[in-house]
Amino acid sequence: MSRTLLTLSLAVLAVAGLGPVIVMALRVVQDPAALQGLLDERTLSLLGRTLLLGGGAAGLALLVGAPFGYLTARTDLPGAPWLRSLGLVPLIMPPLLLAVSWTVLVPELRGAPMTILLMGLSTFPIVALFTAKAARRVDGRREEAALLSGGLGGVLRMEFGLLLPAALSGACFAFLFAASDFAVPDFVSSVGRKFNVYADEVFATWQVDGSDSRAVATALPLVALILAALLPALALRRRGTLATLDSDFVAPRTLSLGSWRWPLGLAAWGLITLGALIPVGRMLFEAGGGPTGWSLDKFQAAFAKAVELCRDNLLASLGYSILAATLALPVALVLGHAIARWRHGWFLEMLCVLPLATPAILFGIGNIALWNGTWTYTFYTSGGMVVLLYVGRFLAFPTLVSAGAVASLDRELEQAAELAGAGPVRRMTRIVAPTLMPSLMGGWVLMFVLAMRELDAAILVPAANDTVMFRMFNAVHFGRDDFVAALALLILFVTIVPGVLWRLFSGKELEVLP
Amino acid sequence: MTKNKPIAISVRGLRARMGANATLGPLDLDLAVGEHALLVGPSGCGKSSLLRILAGLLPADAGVISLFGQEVSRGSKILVPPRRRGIGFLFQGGALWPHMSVAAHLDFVLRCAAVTPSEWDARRAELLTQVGLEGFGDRRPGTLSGGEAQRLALARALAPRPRLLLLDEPLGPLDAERRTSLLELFEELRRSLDLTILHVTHDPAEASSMTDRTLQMQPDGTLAGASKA
Repeated sequence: MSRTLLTLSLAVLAVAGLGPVIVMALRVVQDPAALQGLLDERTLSLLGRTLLLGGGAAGLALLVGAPFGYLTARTDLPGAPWLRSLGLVPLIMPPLLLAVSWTVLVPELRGAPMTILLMGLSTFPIVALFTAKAARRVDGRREEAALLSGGLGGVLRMEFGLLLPAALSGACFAFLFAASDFAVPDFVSSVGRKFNVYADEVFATWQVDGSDSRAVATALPLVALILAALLPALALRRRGTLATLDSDFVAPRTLSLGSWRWPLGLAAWGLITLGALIPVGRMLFEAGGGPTGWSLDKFQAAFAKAVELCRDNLLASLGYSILAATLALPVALVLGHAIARWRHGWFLEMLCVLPLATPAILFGIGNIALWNGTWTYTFYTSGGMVVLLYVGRFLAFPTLVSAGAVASLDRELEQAAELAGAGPVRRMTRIVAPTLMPSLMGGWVLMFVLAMRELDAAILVPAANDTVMFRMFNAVHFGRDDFVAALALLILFVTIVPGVLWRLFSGKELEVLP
Repeated sequence: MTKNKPIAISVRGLRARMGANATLGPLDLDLAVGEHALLVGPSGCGKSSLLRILAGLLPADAGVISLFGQEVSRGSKILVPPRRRGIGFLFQGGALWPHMSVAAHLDFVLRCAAVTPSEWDARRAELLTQVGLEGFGDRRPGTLSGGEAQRLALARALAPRPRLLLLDEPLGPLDAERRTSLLELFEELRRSLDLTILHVTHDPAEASSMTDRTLQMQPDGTLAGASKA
């Protein structure tokens, strides 16, 4: 490993990811009085609600995501390839857009049930992806032995223990996303029964009294909660999706579901209908005039209006997201390589995921505290601030994708290059990076998607006011019309374009698992 | 060992930890220039680890290693990095780079070895002829048979003109006919290029007829004739 590359990558991690976290931690150290009331009744009640949201969403994601992932990856389910692609839509779609669609379809369902349902629908693809990857790594001979002795039931019983760590790892990540989400609980609670969660409270505390230390103190239990989900997620992922394959691995064959094929197929298509087809369909309906009468002219007019009014916002979001993903990619490769190859890589892994364990709102406040100063004000108000915020917030994802890919890369490929005389930089650029291209592109696309849909941290940073998600957030709070629906569809379309292009032109599947 | 020949590999008091319970050594070893030695022993005794330590890919815990009279490592300190040791290494599974063609494999090594681009074509053709892969330049590793893949790995190992060739179970995945053919190729190259070869295998019958000497490793990680202190 090149020391120069590693030092540069660590510097990026320190400035973009760890800096805001450390600044916020120091605020509490300087003002211990802010910790008073940390365990009062109101805080504990918020903690309970956040646990309910995270646990409920993760449980729902596990319940539907694990079977969905297994069935679409390994069985003759009708339309399995389509289901695999469509199954990513709820994850790619900003959760706020899901909320916008479902709250109008089922207006009477609000509060906790609706928020949990939405976050479960939004995160079940994570569990499905983890489960699918682990299911494809079951040795075919093992499976045949189980099939001969116990049929399909025998296979499922044998594989349950093998797939469970991967599925649980995915559920932990689902918990992380749900527990730190701000926009969905806020939007769902904007009408009817309130369901305040921690992220709301941290935001409110900071907005009301402007005290960083109070906001951090308020967030501490949430940090503990997210860390409590993140640590098992990382440990379980090593046992599940990242378990090393034997060199004589035999890929498992497609399993026949027999008479269960169509009922299970209907259930899977039903899930996709709820998570992707209905929300997208509803937006298509609204964009064309909705309840006042759908027409193609109205549909075209809504899109023309959305493009005209939000062209700059879309371009800004695209620019920031592409820049952030592109900047993060080499850093993630170097850090991921170090995590996978170093004896103490786990420590570096912990450092990398620290910004993820920090609630998004708090991370945003940390960036303000760090960069909103006299000397850095020009940068703070520029687009560079948004790019840095995205890199810091999401660098962990492409890093974990890279680390997983490097871990499964035969070390001898690098050693052969080393013996041939290639230095660390050449080994990284000519051997490691090209061999891991699907994972690196997967990391890039994942980072791009997360940056495009990011709102929870960016909402606080003035420079991010020109992003399309900020525009969307404002628009849905001030009314619902064809313009909002068309804008939502535009965001979704732009977000999925890179992944679709890669799939079309490379013919390879993206490796997007953290 | 061949008398009156300079020493290619000299190992003194080598010890290394291999995992939680196993250790390699202590062992001493001398190999003369131009010698082809077979290193045999049961699985897990540390044969491959010894090759990697000689190549500088793994650190030892104690002992001194010299190659062609130059001290390359002392204790856990690597004094000469792997790429400066003049070693060609044939990995058990070939360790071919899946994204590169046969020609790109060789070009990569030639570039690293600071061979001028004007010489690449001639050198590449020479290497492919040496290993019997003429006309395979555009093929990718995934399209090669086991024997062809090992020949490519051999050409790659020979590209920087090494003086010492370390072979880690190079015949493992091959059938009997290809094994014989590859062994003959090793022998031919040793003579024509004056190579020193240390050849690791778990099968003593594999190449004993073509080697000068057989070194027996014990299950406890020492060479036959030595014992744990």
